[in-house]
Amino acid sequence: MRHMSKLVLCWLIAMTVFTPVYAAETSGVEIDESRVTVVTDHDVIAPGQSFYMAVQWAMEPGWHVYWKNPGDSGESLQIDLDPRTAFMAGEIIWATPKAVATGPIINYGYEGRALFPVLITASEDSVPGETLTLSGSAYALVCAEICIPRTVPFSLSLRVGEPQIDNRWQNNIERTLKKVPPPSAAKASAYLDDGALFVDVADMELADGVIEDAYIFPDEPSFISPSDAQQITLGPQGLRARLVPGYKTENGVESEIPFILAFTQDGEYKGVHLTAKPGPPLDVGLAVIPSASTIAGGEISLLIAVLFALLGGVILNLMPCVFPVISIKILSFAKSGAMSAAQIRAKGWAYAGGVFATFAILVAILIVIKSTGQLIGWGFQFQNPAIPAVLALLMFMIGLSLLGVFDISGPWQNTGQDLTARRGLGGSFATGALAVVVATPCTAPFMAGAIGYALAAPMMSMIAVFAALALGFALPFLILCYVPKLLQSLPKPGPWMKTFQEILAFPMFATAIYLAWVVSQQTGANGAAKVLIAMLLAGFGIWLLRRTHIAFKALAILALIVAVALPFTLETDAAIGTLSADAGYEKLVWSPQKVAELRAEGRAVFVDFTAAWCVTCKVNERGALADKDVAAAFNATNTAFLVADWTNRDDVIAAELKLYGRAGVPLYLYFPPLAAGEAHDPAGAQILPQVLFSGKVIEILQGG
Amino acid sequence: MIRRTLLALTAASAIAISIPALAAVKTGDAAPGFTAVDSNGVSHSLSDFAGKTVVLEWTNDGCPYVKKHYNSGNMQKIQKDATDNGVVWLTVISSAPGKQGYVDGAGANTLTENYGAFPTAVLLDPAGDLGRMYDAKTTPHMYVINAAGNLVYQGAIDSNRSSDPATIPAATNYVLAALDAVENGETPQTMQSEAYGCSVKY
Repeated sequence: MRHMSKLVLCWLIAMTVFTPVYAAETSGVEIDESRVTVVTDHDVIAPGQSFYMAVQWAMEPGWHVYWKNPGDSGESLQIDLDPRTAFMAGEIIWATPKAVATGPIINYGYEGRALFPVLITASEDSVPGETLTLSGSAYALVCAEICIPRTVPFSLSLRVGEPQIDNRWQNNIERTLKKVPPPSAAKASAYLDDGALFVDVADMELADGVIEDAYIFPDEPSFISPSDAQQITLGPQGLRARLVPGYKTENGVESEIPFILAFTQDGEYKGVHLTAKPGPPLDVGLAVIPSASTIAGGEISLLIAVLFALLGGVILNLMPCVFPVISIKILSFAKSGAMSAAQIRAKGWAYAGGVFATFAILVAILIVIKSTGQLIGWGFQFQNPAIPAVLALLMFMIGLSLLGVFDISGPWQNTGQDLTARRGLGGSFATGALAVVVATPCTAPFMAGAIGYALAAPMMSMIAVFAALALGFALPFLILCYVPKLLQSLPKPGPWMKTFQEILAFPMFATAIYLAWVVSQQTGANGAAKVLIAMLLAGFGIWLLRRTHIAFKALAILALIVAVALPFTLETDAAIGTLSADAGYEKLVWSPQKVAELRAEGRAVFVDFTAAWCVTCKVNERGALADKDVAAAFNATNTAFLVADWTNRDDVIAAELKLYGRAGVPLYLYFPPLAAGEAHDPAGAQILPQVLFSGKVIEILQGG
Repeated sequence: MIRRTLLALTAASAIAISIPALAAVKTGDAAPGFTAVDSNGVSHSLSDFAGKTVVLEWTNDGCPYVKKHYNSGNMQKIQKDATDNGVVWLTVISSAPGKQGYVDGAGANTLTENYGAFPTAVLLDPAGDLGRMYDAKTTPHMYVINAAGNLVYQGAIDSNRSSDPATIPAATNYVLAALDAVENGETPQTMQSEAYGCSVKY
């Protein structure tokens, strides 16, 4: 019971009454981890004078005392004057606190040597020559890993007469008063969105210099959840903080939230005091939900997001799943080389219209789903296996058509190929639409940033980004239509066209194979078999249609109906993952608590957010992540490799992606090993580039 | 759906429960189910106590705020009052091995005996899974689950956040108030408060 007796001893020490010291400064009271001194900035005071008294609480390293809002545990430091004393005391004047972590719990407090000033007013009734006793007690809960309550009584003697300053303590108190966050004229607004509490600060007047490590300390408990990570992003006109609400705000912000905004500027830690009013988002020059990546490397402004979207749209034209579709259309131009410039331009605009219309539909769907509060991400179409299955079938049939198995003008209705091959403006429009749908799996990896931005942004910004994406997508085609020289430099129609058309069938088949493989990843071998059977039935049906007998025609149509219906019977298999053990290091299934566990064991953690339909992910997995030296680095540094597979929709993964401002995969995170006493911050990972190189991965693993 | 079912199965079959770290449990919602082993090696599931009021009390015998309520006999009095009325009282120790408050089964039983405490069982949660599941942040941190399995109170034991036992008589005891309300088929007036005390030593 040695353990118990030691604690009893601590308790006794805490309760012991120390002999009061009669001076304008108490000699420091030392109790194990704490040394407590009570001082005044005056040795002699005038009757009725106001002056500062301060409690200096000095602690051994590792110990802390608490701010007025202690955070998720602990208790505020208190200073009480004896009721009979001839002085009136104000509230404690608090310097900007710091966030102190104990395991996963975050507290607000002070470490090292902290000074707590109180404004004291002497009684008007005091007479010069008299000696007044300023007595009371200071109480603090002092915590390291364990907590000890300390009560330190104090008693100071102050002479009444010609005021006399204590220079040393006046300077020290002044220094602390300068660290008190001044009230700011900036506007602040607090609101809930999608379960998160946002605090916007606009029109903040700050001296020049970069602001770093911004942090919010609410004056009172229960408005936010202190132990959860804060994501704060700076914009041109202010900042936006994304916080986890406390129980007083989780159902809406109903009252004002006074808080300190703390930050480091030019190496100096300081704060300003603000009050957030319940209200709408403020214009802080940001539309983006903050993410760790924006904190690390500059936020994406709307203009940049739009430019990226435009560029991304242009690049999409070169994607293997888009190029063949566009090629077909270019081929049709080549065929009709006799068209007038006006006709060609009209076709270009029709194509652009198709692209825009499809994006508009996607945006409308996103808005509906977003507003119903579901967690979604780009590529969501492909998370339903029926979609890639139908597209695989479509690609197969387009391929067959290109090979000349069946005539485009045949009875095969309501398919992309039929529509795209139409000569008129409708055909151009359909080509644009189809190109967008097919582009989705390519979009996700390349456009993660802009789409993450758009999904998280207000509706107008989202529409702007998608409009830019659509414009970029349609641009090369439009340019081709507007610069007739480019069109004229296309080869003259001739027998080569038949060959070219047939060659185009093979990228189509390749795309079909890729899509069938996606389905197999989502639904297993049986699902893939269904897609292949659908292809067989479709091919058989098309062949049967050539027969003239009505019974054969009926059978053909039946086969086609079954072929199209089959993909919709596919069911997602939750047990299917993309874990493979052939990389030379162990791959584990990701979960947020697995990351916390592994880090608690002192290991570094690498998280791979991937999906079967994500081309970039596969390239990285076959490339950099399969590299022998990378494997050796994983093993040498004992870094855990966790795989978060987003092939099938998963709310937990979607939430994690959102935490990092992404709406899609790939996302690579690196959590370095925890330093002693450091708490795991789920939002504190280092973000790796979307395209991985083995050298970069090794550098990060080795702590570079 | 399949994923959710799998998750539920996992939760039912192991003490380790898959919930993101420090995910808050919403007051008024169904209390998340758990299975944990007590100081005598007996396994308890929340579902075992369906139809009964359940109190969860996070503790750490080294914490001054726990001492405030145990050395004064306040906690024992509430426990006795509650368990006499058929309430299931589960004391939970989530301190990690090597950290303050960690005890093995025998150690926990000694504490119960020395304090003259009346818990139905003392659950040992050295991995902190149960603590994280309920987002327990302090010792003491109190939870009241009604007979329908809904969380009707979470937070502090009473309204005075001091470590001084002298403040107990004048403080409003939220747990007793919640238990009284539940017994009368009512919703507690205070369903949530900011817990106070030492941090849970995960």
